[in-house]
Amino acid sequence: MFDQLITRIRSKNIGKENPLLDERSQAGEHLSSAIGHNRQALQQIFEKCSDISFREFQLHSTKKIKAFIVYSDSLCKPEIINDAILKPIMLEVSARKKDLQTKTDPSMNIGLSTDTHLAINAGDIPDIILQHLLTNYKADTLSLISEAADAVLEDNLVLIIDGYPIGIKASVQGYNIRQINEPTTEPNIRGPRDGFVENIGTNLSLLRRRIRTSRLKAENMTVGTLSKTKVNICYIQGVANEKVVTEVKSRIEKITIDNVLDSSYIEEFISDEPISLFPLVQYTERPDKAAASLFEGRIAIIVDNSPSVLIVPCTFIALIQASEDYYYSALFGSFARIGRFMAINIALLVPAITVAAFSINQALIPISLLNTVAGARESLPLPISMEIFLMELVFELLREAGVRLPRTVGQAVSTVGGLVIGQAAVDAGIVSPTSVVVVGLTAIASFTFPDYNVGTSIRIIRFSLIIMASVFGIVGIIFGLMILLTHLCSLRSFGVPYLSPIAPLTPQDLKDTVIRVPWWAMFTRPRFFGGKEPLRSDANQLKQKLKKRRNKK
Amino acid sequence: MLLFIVMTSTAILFIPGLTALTAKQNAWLVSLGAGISSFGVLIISTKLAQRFPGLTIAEYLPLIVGKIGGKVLAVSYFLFFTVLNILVVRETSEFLTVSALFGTPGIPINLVFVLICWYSAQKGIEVIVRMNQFILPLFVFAYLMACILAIPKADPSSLLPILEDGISPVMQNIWIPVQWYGEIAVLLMLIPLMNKPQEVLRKASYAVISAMLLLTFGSLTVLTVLGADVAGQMIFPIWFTAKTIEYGNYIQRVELLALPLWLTGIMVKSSLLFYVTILAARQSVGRKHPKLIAASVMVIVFSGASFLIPNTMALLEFLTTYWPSVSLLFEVVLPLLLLAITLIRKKKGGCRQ
Repeated sequence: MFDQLITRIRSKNIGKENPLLDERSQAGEHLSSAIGHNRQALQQIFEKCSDISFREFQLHSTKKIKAFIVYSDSLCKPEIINDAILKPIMLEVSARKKDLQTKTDPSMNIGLSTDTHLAINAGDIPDIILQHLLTNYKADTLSLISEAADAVLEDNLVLIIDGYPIGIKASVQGYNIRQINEPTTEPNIRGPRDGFVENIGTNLSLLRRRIRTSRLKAENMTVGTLSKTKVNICYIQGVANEKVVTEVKSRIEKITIDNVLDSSYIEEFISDEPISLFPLVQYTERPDKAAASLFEGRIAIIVDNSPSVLIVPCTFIALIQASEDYYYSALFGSFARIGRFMAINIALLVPAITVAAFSINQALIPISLLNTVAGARESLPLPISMEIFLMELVFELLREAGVRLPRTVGQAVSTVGGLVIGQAAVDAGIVSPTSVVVVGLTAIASFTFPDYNVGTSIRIIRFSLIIMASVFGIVGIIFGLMILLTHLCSLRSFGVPYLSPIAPLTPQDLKDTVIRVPWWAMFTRPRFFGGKEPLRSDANQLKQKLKKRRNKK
Repeated sequence: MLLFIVMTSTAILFIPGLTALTAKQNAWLVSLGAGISSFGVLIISTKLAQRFPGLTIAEYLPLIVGKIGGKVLAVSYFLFFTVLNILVVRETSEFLTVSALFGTPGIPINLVFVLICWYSAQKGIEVIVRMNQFILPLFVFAYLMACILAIPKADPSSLLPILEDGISPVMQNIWIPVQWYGEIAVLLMLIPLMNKPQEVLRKASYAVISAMLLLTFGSLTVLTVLGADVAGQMIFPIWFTAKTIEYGNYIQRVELLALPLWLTGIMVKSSLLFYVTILAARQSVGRKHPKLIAASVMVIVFSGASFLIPNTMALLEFLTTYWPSVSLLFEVVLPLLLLAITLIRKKKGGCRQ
């Protein structure tokens, strides 16, 4: 129904929509050899852009060749422009040109001209600059006006010289990037502490440092008609499923939106189900987690200006796996996993079961406990279902307030929330201590997941389960869980069933679900991601380990 | 795996009580015998499906007996599945009102139950199978837990004397549980949907064997713990068997913990039946309005489950006297006849495959 509503709203608006804004009205126009024309065109494009600077100068002291550079003040580092670009060009072009003209003979010239794609005879000023003078690692030529404009907006400086219909761009990126520090949402005790930042280049380098193989591919795409956000699709060739890679690319290509401020925009566009309770795309701020996912045969999508890297396909189990599980010993890792699975059940079920047990299925409570609880509940005004429901709501308020408030005030809120609302409400006889305990327990349990999204979806489901439990008791909870299970079973993330490897069952892949086997035993990648190279390490390792153990005995 | 849950989920609840009523202490032999005889159903339905690869029974019926007769038979199969589904829903709500929801009227339970199962059936066979894969281990675990924990209370002497009145009461009663085993006939609709239809026979026989063992084990536990006379008077003896479990103050109330898992098993079964019913309806009645057909199936099942049978006793009477013969007709006799017809035709060379 929701889908229908959305499509109806969309179809209503389609007629009224203006065409998407596009500034590339001069898209196809080439740079001309007249410098005045070029400058005029660029100035026209960057009209009223106070941060775009033009600087004119002369290249050849005697011939007086005019030239100018365009760059964005806000994106550039002035030192680079001064020392590495203007200085060599302005001081040395004249000297070099004389040199070259005297030394090279015609035959060499031909050789040179076929080498470069400039198709203008060697000894040209742009060529000299590019080949010999520009001490910049990312310099290239361009020939369209729109290219020049785009280059300026992508942290480049563009140099245009009179008499040549080409420009030279050089990277002069120099804005401030947040330092790499520990991701605050996913902290850990052992293991690497670096986290993704808002810059796509830095993020890619964090991945590349971990995967130094040419098979780690990072394909470039641009999304957002106005924001022109860079998107990188990273995968390890051969390990990742090619079909999924092409599917990801085609889904991202289909996105039409004017801006992308965070990777979550992309997430909503490429997600399989338009509306789903559970995240179908995983995100992480940890490079080690992203790298581990790549090695599992998954695909990472890095979006510029967003520290959260998307990972697809996503399974429910993957959302429960913390990167720390793999850094501790296998025993403790498995222990933590089991604890986390219990936490899911607590967060999801404990309030609902409490409601069911106290209102309908009293048989569940042992007699001794029933006596004390029933005694305590006698003077309370609200039925247990209302009580727990309201307390859960209060907790949601506190949580939301805790996120929004500045850190200093946050302390006060938690004190007021915890002490006043908890203790005082019990003392005043508004709620029972039982429900405070229950709500506190579920609150703690819902924050144990490595993925914040899972906690939120579980919180939403919790409320509906409480309602079901207050109507049908235990049976109501089962009804609710069956709907949930149906939903989970019908989900797919990029073709991978959401509950794999449990349903559909692939017994070999159970080694990394509820428990985490040691690395020497984890010699295959998860099959359900569909990569071509399932072997991770030598399977003999396992045999040798087992043999050793047997010999010891 | 799916067939396993189809057979066991409701059978667990009813078989021990119904068979103990008549076969007394030999009721467990009845479950065993019925399991063996259900192989016949299995073989017939797979052989039949192998003659018409890629077609469900509703589709190949017209091929065998001609257009009009085939249509009639297909519609009757659709009705058969509908009634089967109605019975499952009704059995569940009866069980729930006895066990966990005292005094709750059956209609709201039926409604919610039907809605949920219909929802999962709408999601398709793949989703149901995956749900089954998720639930089956838990289901078996709950069942075995209930049985094994009850063992200390068991009194083997209540099984004696074995075959007091000879084998005939056992043989007479076999046809009651056969109807549950015979639900394997949903294969008639499902085989074309499987990945490897060739392996159906082998895999389904695993399911039959394991279901047979589990049910026999369950009957044995019930009989030894409660005794044949008590078990025969109860409607859901396994539930009361689980209720007797108590180890000090630590392990008690097992039945309320096992109940959810049983219930999920039944829901998967009902979802599958819904799927099969809707499929049969589409293939026999018409393909024009899939959503309308699905919705009307739901309404029919709901109202049938709520209003057709007045009370529990009527349900039990229906289950023991009328339904076995009807289900035998659809599960064994008709497929056998169809198989015979195709075989004869083939010999004559007139098969229209």
